[in-house]
Amino acid sequence: MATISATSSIRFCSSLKLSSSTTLQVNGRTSTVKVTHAGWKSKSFPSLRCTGFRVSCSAKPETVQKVCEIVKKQLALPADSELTPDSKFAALGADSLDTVEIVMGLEEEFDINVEEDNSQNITTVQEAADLIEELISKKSGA
Amino acid sequence: MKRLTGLQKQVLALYGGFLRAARAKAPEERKKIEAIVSEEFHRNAKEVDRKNFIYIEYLLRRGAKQLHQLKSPNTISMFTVPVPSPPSKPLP
Amino acid sequence: MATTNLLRRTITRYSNSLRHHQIRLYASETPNENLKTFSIYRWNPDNSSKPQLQDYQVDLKNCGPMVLDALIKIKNEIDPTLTFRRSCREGICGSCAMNIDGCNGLACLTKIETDDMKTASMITPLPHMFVIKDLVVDMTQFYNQYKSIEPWLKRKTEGSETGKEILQSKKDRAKLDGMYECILCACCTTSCPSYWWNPEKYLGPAALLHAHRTLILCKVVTHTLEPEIIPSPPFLYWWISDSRDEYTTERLDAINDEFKLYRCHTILNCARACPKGLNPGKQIQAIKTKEMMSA
Repeated sequence: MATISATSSIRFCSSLKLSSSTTLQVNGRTSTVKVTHAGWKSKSFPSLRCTGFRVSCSAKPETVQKVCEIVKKQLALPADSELTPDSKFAALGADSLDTVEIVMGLEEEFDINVEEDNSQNITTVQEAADLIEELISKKSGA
Repeated sequence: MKRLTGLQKQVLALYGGFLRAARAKAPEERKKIEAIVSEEFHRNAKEVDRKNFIYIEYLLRRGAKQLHQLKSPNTISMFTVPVPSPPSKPLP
Repeated sequence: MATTNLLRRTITRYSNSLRHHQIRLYASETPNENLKTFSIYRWNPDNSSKPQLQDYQVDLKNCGPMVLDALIKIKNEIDPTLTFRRSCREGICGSCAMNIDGCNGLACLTKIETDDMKTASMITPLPHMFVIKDLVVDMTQFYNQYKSIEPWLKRKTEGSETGKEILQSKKDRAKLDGMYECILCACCTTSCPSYWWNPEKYLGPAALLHAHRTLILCKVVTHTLEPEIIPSPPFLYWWISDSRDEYTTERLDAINDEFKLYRCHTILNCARACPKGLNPGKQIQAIKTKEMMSA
């Protein structure tokens, strides 16, 4: 019984893109989660359709590296310019239109499809890399 | 980053739509299309008064129509014709 | 005798022309009585001004009787930047639909108001439509809704003889009266308050009128194929009971929707607005009856 409820809570978390630490917290309140889960399932809450275990963690360094290169290319920055994972696009001189261009460049490079809502929330290299890893794992899982 | 308004989100979504549609075209044409689209969006971002909602909404509708045309597989290229801009009147 | 007649005719003709001449002279002395003001909606997206009403004065003495004549005169002689759609100038193309003095209509079929020369005539674009420029509105949505009802003949089977046209009897053709005249000018749809509220979901009177036309058209065509087996009961009855009807059920199902069809609350602005004198509201009622009977 405990196993089942734990699974359901993980699914719930992964679909809502919570971090692994939140998963543990939710596990502590297993019964509550079970109730919400059943309630949503009957109404077929769309995000619950996403299955498969996924843990969001920091993206691989090579992904971050690749993202940095694309950002440099799109913003026409010199090749030797310093770019850290926490660099904000805005600080690099990018406006929201440039951000869209960056996201489009990433989409093509990694062969993924970023939803508009997500793409507009990306502000740093790290965020972009995390989202890409997430989408790639979702794609391979599906 | 500041929170975006609904109108700004629509503009960004339209821009993304154009760049996605351009991918389906031949590489050379794609470059041309991207240059035209990027120039137009950046120019309007600079020139259009951000509170001129009537005009921004008009541009969005016009852009949506053009995007629809561009998406058609029969469309292979995109051109612009320079039009002399009319004397702009200030808001009454 | 013949000479007298000829003489009399000449005199009459001469005096007639004389009278005409006098009237014209009188008119030219007091031109102000024939000046009519038109307040026309102006908006040009390319300069950043707000929409406004612009007044133009037209001498009706040198102008045709219809609003479109005045608009063309203004564009030709006063302001070439005034933008509007027009084509046939005789009420068959439906291009010049606009709102004239608060009523939707075709400019080419609407007479210039001459009873009250002091008040200006107000001309605005069709209400609740996106304006492209001045009196030109964006019809994309309207046409897409028309397209969505698939206003063409659809058949599951071949005709009796392949490649031969399917003829229509006079009686069957008469069933399309009140629907085939529609020219898709959008006067009715844009006058409908229900459409103003739900322009994305409600199909609107024009599209629904055509939906009904296609329903009957399909019926008529199949009916013509095998005239010997037409059942005698009233039209509605055999229309539903007839299994030879090829896409009727699909068509009825497609528009059997809370919004698409049932947002019509029989306000009947459509019938008032229609420049061709049609009654889309009545056709929508007919569809509703058919939906009910096929349920």
